[in-house]
Amino acid sequence: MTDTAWIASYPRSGADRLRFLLAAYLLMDRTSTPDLDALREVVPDFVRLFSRGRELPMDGSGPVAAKTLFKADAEVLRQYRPTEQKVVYLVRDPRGMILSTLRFLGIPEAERATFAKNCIAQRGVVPQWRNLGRGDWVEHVRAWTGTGTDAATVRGPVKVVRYEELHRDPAATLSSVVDFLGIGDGADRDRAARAAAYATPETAFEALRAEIASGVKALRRNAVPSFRPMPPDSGTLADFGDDVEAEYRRLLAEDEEFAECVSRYGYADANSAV
Amino acid sequence: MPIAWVASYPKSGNTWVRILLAGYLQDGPVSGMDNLQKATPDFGATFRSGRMLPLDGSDPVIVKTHFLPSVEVIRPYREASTKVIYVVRNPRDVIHSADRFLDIADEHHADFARHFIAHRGVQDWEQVGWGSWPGHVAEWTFPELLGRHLPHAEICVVRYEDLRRDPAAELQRMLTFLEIDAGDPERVERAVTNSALDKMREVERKDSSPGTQAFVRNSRTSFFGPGLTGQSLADVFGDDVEAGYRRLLAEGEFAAVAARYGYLDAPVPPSVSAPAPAPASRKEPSVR
Repeated sequence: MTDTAWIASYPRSGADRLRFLLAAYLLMDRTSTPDLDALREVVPDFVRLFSRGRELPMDGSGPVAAKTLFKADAEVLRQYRPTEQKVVYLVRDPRGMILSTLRFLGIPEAERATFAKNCIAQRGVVPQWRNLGRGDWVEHVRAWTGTGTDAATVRGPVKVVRYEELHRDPAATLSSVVDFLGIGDGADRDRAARAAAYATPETAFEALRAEIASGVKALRRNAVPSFRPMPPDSGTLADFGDDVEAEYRRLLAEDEEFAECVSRYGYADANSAV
Repeated sequence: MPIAWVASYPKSGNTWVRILLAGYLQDGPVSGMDNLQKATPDFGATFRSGRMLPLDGSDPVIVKTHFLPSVEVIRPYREASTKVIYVVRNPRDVIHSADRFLDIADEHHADFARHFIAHRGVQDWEQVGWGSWPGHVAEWTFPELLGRHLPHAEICVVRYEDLRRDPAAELQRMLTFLEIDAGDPERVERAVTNSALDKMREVERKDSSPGTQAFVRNSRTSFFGPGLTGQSLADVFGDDVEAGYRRLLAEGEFAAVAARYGYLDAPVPPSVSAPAPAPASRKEPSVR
């Protein structure tokens, strides 16, 4: 049985950021500039692993942690569920998640309000994600954090990390995750600070850009120019029109489960999104 | 539930075979990628949606993959895998199709072809568990190699060129192999008609609505190419590429696999019929 912990989140909620930080922390004692392949190997993405034909080892030789965006009860996770694995669950204000999704998917400016309203109508998610084993945001949060009707899904200890805290103080958040996972003798604060200084979105972008600029990818039309770093998360739903913010407030008022989830993680305040 | 794999190296006609089989099974046109995924699922897309292949029930599930049979993620299906339809295509045309599909820049067409020749395929694809072209074909179609990973699987090899020449006959052959009643020739013809390239491109166009594109693929290039066979490499990539490819055809595993499936010939115009297929099912390999 593997003791690999899960770094789980709904899409656009910081799982890759934390994964990158944790991988950098784990590799920092070996090198000050770990390469992308090494980072991916030490804290793999479950889907990326599959897309290379590989599975997570179940004999205890697996990595410290692996990232997944699947809902906790997804079929593909079932073979791992009997183990009482630790879970680091990242949660993010749905407002920030929707804004980040708009940028990530490159939705044109003129279509953003409609797209955002569609997300809100789907309980704060992109409709396609429902079909990708994610469920909606409330279902996802409940399944991984062991609340609501899905409480039996996860049996191991769960640490919930707010994306906003990760964004505000990545080194401290990383240290708390290292402590939770029981890595070494506990978090080395200096090493966590060095990992946080190294594992920034800009570093990740540069590493990805270097990767795209090699092999067959480099031969593709517009391979590199079309790839740009994400702009910093900012703005509010009201930027797309008062009716978008109004739709979100209506969801909060009418969907008791959604409102409960939002409130539980401190996202009822209109200005909490980053 | 038994699993029948539809396996191929990329750009070899796998999706066309899925469309033919799906069209026959549902006796109607494939209406989009969701419909195709439901009828003849793609292994990768199934996983990415959080699901495993169904192993309960009695009807076979027909599953597309580009993976080698030796990869770890196929192991859970080792016992359930009873059939393999392997689609093989002349590497000349795989190179052309991959060049178009990967949207290779105009100034790099020859570089890409040289890359393919040097690596016996696309190196990036080898790194994701799809192997090289000869490695892929050999591992799936040489019974003693396949048997190491899928010991209960029978093999039916379909040459893309034969599929182009007589799709109805090849579909009939695949259905018989899969033990699916193929007694209605008109239904077979309807499936063939519904799989025409122009119809598939129209389905793809409708599927590529804003917002969906980001979840499917970069849709700048159509998934469906012109479906040509026996193309020259000299015309697009240059005489040195054609010469390099001919050297490849004269050596080692690549040559042996190409010979086995009738791909040693010089390029032929698309209108000329492909050479007769080499017998493949359950025969001893000619290499290794």
